[in-house]
Amino acid sequence: MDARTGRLLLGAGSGVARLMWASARPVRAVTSTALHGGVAMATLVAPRTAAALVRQGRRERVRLLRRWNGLLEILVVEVLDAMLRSVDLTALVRDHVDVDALAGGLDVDAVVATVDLDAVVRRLDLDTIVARVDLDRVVAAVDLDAVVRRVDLDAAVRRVDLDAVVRRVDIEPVLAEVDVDGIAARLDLDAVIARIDLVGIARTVIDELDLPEIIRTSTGALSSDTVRAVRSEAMTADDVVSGAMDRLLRRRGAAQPPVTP
Amino acid sequence: MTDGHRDGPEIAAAAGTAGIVSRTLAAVVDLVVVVTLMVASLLAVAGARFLVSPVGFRWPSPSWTLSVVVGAVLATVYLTVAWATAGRSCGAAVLGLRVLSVRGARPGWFRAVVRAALCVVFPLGLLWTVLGRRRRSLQDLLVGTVVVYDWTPGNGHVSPLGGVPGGAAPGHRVRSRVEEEPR
Repeated sequence: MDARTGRLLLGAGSGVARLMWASARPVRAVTSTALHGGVAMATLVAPRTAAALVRQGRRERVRLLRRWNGLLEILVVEVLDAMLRSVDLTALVRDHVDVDALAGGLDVDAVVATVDLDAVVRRLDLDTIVARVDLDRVVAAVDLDAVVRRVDLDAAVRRVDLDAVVRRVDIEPVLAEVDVDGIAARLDLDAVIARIDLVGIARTVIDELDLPEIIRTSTGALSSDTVRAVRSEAMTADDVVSGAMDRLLRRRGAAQPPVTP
Repeated sequence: MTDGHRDGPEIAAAAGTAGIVSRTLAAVVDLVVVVTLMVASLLAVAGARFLVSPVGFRWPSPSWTLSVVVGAVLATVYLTVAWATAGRSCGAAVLGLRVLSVRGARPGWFRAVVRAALCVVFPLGLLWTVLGRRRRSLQDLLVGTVVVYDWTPGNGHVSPLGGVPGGAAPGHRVRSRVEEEPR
């Protein structure tokens, strides 16, 4: 039974009671008379009717308690509703409750231990969550320099199997995508050359090389080889011509034996 | 080039006589040398003329006869000096040849000048190298000389006097052949 129905019933009951009270005036007069007359009778029958009255009174009390309990429930609900509407509970808690002290008193571990995290995670729609995250803003807020300073890059690199990584890299497509001509066109070769001490480098190289000795050796070897080849060929040709003439002139045995190299 | 202690019978004894191809090639080289000498002479004459008379200078234009005579004289002088002093001309040095007397010694000035003159006047005498049995040209036969190989292919040594083969057997054969030749 809600509050409105209760109020209607109370109003109706009250009206019916008043109507009955007014309409029962003659009956009351008669009843009063009868009661006065009945008192005498009652004194006579009182010992028998007292117990019945007690029982009736008890029943009436129980009935009234039940009714008033119902009414109180309605009343409390109504009052509380009105109070909550009129009071800003959030501000009240913020102003008067020490939330930090409350949080400090919480045994978070125990709370977490009772939570079935797996079930929670299963219920999460991570894709949706990730889609709602503004990663750019998050990354912009990260102090990457500080993070990098704390990373031991040497140790990380030592743990990387670079050979395996390189073996897995397919260089050809990478090279095909590289615009070597474009890179070369962007190079300022003049500036690069201007920064190189070509004269110094050349002087160093010449100092390291014994150029005259190399030239002497190479030209000497070349001329030596050439001259030796010419001489050998000429000597062989001499023998060939001599042999041919010997056969042509039917000379028996070469007068000049071939000089075997 | 005048390595006198190396001259002598042992060289002729150790070396083989050179054939027509080697000697022709040496002659071609010598011809180039002579032509170079002629050009140098022409330039010298022109320079002298210019120094003497710069205003009336004209480039010398010698006749063919004069050119041939001058060339012949230059060639004779060049070959004489080369054979008498070093035993070899430039062409012979390139081809590894050496001119010796039949005794194996270096030809003297007389042999050298006669041989040079004969070579210049009658170069076809070289062809007897092929026809004769001893690989000697007509000039060799007339003046008593022989042209030998003065290098060995084995050690690659191209020094004018360095590469004399040391084999005894062919050396004796060569010497015997040389000594058989008529003087």
